[in-house]
Amino acid sequence: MMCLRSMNANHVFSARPTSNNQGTELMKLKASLTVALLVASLSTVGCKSKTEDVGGGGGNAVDPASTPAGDSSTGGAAPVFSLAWSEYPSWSVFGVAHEMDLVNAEEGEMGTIEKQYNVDIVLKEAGYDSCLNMFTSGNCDAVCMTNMDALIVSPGRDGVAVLPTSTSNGADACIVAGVESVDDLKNVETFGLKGTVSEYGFVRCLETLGKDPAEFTFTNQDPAAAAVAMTQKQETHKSIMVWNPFVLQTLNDRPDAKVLFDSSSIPGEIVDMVVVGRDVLEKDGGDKFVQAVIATFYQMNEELAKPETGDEVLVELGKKFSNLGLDDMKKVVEQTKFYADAEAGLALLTGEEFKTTMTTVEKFCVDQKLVEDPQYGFGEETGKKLLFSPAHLQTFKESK
Amino acid sequence: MVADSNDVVLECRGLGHSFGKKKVLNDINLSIGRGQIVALVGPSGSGKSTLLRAILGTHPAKQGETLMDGKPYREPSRDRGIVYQKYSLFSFLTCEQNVAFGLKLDATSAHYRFFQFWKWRELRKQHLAAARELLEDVGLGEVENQYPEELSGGMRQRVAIAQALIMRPKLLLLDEPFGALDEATREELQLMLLNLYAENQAARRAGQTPPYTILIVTHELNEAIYVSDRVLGLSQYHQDGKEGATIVYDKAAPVYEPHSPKDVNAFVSQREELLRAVFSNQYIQHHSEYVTFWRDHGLKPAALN
Amino acid sequence: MLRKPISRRARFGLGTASVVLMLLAYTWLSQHRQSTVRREQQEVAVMKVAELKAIENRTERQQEELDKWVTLSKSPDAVDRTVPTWSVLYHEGWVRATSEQGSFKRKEVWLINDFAATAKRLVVGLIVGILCSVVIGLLMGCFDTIDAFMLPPFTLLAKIPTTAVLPIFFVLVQINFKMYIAMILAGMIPTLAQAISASVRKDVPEELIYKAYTLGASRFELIYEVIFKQVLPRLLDAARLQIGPALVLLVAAEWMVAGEGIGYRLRLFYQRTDMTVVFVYVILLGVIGLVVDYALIWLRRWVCPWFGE
Repeated sequence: MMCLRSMNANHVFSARPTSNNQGTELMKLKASLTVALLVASLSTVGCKSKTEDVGGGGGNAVDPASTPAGDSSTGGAAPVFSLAWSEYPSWSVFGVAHEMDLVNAEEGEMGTIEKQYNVDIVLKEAGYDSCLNMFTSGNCDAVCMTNMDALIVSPGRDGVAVLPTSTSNGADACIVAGVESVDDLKNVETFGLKGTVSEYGFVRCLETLGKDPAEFTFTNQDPAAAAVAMTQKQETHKSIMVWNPFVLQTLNDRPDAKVLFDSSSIPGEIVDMVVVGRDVLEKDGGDKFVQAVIATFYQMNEELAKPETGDEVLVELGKKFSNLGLDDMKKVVEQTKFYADAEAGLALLTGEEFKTTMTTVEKFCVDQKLVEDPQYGFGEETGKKLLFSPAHLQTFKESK
Repeated sequence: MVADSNDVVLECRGLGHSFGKKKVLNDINLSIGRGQIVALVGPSGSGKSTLLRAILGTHPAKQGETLMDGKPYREPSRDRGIVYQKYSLFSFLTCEQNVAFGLKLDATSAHYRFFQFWKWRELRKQHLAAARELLEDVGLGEVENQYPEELSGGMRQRVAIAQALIMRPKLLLLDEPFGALDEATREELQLMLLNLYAENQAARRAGQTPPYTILIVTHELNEAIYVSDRVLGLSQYHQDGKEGATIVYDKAAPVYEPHSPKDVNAFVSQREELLRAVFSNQYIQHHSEYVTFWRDHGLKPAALN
Repeated sequence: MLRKPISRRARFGLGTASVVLMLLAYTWLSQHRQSTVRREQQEVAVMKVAELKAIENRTERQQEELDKWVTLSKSPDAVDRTVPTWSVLYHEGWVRATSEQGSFKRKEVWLINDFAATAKRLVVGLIVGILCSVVIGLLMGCFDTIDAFMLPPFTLLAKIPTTAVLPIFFVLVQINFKMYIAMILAGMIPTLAQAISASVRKDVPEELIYKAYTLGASRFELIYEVIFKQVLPRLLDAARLQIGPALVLLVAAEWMVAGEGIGYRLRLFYQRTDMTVVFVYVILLGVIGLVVDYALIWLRRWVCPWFGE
């Protein structure tokens, strides 16, 4: 029986293939089936094996794929590491650093700092949530996130916080319209993203004002959506708790809106930082990667501080971050206080205040069921899932 | 006259077939000589198409065997051409390409067409020329570049017959080929079959092997008698005491070259005989009563020995 | 009377009217929003001016602010970017998207960069996806064994909204070019292969297969010369219909994890509640979609002239 399709049994004239020919038919089918399966799984397998090759950005120093092509100045093969960043004032500096060619975002191409440290940094820009996801799933070696999220994702991947970049000093704000006092706020819903620094800031600010946060309603909503609703004067949105650029945008776009309270009343509690996977530090070149990231950040701060280039860098930062102009960006960097040099960073990481802060953050996170029993430590402590380590900053400072 | 030799092209030995418990065909023994144009008739439900499919090889019978030139087979092959009532043409090919399609598939391989592309192009030209010639022979010189969708039903069946004939099959099977056509078109196509018969006769007169051996399945008695030189009746009405249709009628039929005078009386009497012997469930005799073709001609097909 | 035919002229007129109506509605809405924003700004400015004027001894900074508000109260300059006017759409949307952006050592034209990045992912994904679907679909249509084996997972997978599977991809597969391709494949193959297999079963009558055997076709010739060619127009149509879902998936994925591409740019501007560039991208996507659609219909007519319209 050679017919390709076996007969339809309901058909009046149909007949089943005879048994003596079924054997060879079956074998041919099996062969075809194997081919089909191979084809079907080919691409997926391809991707999968790629993951294993370069996994986690590839600390695999000898992997020929990670050799920077056409860059003879570095001599040997530069190990490849990736840093995921999202649009935020002190993180968008990495995007600008790419534009200034301090760091080249592409794999296989090197900026000046990369050449200096002989390490190939791949910059991955993505939404904040996606960045966290990439970090825990091993899709990047280092990530920009807040101290609070570092704690929350710590069960997913062991991390070391190596570089505090900035602290929120008004960048997280509760914006209201038609609400006159904090007590009036009890009567309306406040919209913001739950389980994030927004909610944390909301609760902590109320506490510092001597109120009981339980008496207030915090409703979950994406900050961009909440800001739009506020700008468009939707009836429901009399109060929102959002972060920058939404704070500045909302205030610009809705002149009658005002800030009821903001994170300037809890300085040093919401800290933006770069966290590196612990596994990365154990790889060849992992230390150099961290040093290069630190060097890039401080180099950019120097550029910002220079009178001749500062404004231009700030405007570029504004473009990477939002569509805010120079004046607004000046406000932004006030509200987001940069830890502009190693001393400032070390002061935070070695200070006692930060330890108290983390206790508060931990309590909040556990209360909100964002994380169970987080294991974190400072300095030289061992056996912790998350370590706030000043060691790398110290090394950087000493190398200068 | 027609059974002019013992040269048997097709032979069926004890074919039987059933669907589930229902026996459809029972013990069919049949030989078709080279150059015969055989019509197969029978009441509806007698299993004409089942028998045709078994002979074609797409659906081999469960019992018995089919042989072509003495070799058993259970698959369709280029030796047996087929024209169905519908779906005979490939709608993505023009008429010319449709007719040349068999030459392409049979004479060359995909490997050859790909790796010896330039040679294949030369050969292709010859194929298309042959196809055009054949199309002209069946009266369709004008439509060679049209797609089947653009043609009338009668034209399509002409193309389909040309498509089968270009293979020079040992046996051409026609499955109700004109069933969907109107009366006038039907007659034209019947005439076309008679032309094939005329070619057979011409070959015989010249002492050559007649080129066309045809088995035509039809429900039209007149058509069966008119175009064939031998009529087979397949019927479930017989006194064998067994379920399933078998051959109950096998006789020569009056056949004439297209423009010669016809004996209408012979048609009428055979038609009446057929109605009684094959189609009537009142007149039930032993099935071999009218199966006399080979005996009438004083021959016994060699294969039966 | 239902379905009463109308003249070509009437059809054209009505079509034009609907487009014009749409454009007019947008123009009105954008002007309305723009004037509302300006009026509100003016109101606030008047209020601020009054407040500041009431202060007797103004500091230098207060004086500066007063000047600013006085200017604004006379000529408010607020720009609405949620439903931008045509002029804003052009100057802030089109011009920004098509001129060189960036500074220092790296400059790029967003429109070109983003559409090229997305197009590359889409085109490679589609080509690989269609090839795989054709092979699998034909095999499924031709062999019941393969059909029985592949159909249950395909039926299930085809029912899952592919955007819902994105997180799994982000976690399991290294986020790179290949991930987008794999994603498009996963979204496309179950649906397209099933469509092709269904077409093989429906559009290729068994008679045609038997006929091909009597013409001396080998198994490969049967699949390629008969079945493939017979289902080709349906295949092209089915593939054309897959472009939409593939693009949805791609833009969604880019929205979440890409550093370049249409989805990436849309996310950035959504975060800034700035619809200028968004509108430009969206309109362009619509126009390109239309052009591609018609191009593929034309291709089908050209490749399969026998299939009719």
